[in-house]
Amino acid sequence: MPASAPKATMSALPVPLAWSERAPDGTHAVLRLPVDLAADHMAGHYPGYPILPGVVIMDWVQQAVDSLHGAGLRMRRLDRARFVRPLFPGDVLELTIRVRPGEPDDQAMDGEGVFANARIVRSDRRPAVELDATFGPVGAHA
Amino acid sequence: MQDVDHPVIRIRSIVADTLDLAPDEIDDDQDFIDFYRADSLNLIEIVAQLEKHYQVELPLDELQQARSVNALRGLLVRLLDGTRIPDSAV
Amino acid sequence: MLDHAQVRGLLRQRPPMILLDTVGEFSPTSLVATKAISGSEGCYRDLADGTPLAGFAYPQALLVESFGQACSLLWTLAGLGPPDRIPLLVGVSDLAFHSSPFPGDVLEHQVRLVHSSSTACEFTGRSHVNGDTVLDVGSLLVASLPGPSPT
Repeated sequence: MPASAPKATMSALPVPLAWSERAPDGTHAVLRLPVDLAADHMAGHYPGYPILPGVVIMDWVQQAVDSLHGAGLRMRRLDRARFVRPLFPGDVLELTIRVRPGEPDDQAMDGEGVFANARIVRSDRRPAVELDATFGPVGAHA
Repeated sequence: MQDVDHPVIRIRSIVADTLDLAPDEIDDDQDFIDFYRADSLNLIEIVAQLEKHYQVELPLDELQQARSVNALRGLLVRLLDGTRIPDSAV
Repeated sequence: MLDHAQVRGLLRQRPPMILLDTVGEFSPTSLVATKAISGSEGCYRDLADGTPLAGFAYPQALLVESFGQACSLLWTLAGLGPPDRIPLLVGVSDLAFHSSPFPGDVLEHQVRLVHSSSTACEFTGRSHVNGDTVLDVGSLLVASLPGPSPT
């Protein structure tokens, strides 16, 4: 597993517990992620109605890409994210991520980027989140 | 010739776009959820696009019955006068 | 103009998820809000000594959440939904991230309402630091329903 460079995160993945499947070529992985009521972001979101902030998924997808492809990539575009169902504390989510190489002529990627597609289902197997994002080298401009 | 501004064409195109289908894959009478496996957020996305396009608010309590292209057209025809949306089939 | 006490009074989030400081100008369809990024924030707590500057890039998830809170403030100020409802983020599309913000930077979010109805509200906008764009938001969709489907 490539070492993750130190990078500020909103919510660190519970590595290595999170990884339930992982293709050796880095194109596909499945993670199991608990929605932890004790996490910082749950405390204030929202009082009396704790619900996982949808943006946490972006952070998890970034860390999954770091782990699959080294920490030299950052999200350059969030092409689309759909939060179909709310995510409640106590649940264990299944995040499936598929990564494919970017187009060579895409400027956001500088020829070395990737596309990531992530889907989350809740433990009741209902689809909850779909996300498509484009990653390019850290430091290059979108 | 089909007019892209014709409401059925417009609604079908918005629905197809939201559901990641081609417009000719949409049957105007089929229920989005039962037939195309749309989720509740797809319905919100379709309604928001139609509201923006036609500058009209679709009442929440009518949306449960408006889950096909033809049902949405019927709802729009009732909400708008005939000059803004011709009530005719393609 | 809203000071931090007023911003806090209007936001439904509570610490550590209060990611806005002040509101500059606002109208029923637009708003400008600020957030100062500090090295003391929780996201930097666990970084090892010797972490290079690149590691202190403000997490993109928090940047988008902060922008989203500016949208939710506009939702509240413009009365776009019932006060007893929470505006839930249900969709975003066409976000582009440009240069990264760091501790010491002050984010300025410029939010514009594109559409509102009892089904959903759509916002667009961008975030700047010192005039440089750090984030472009094509579309952010908020449901003013009691959640898209709570079950």
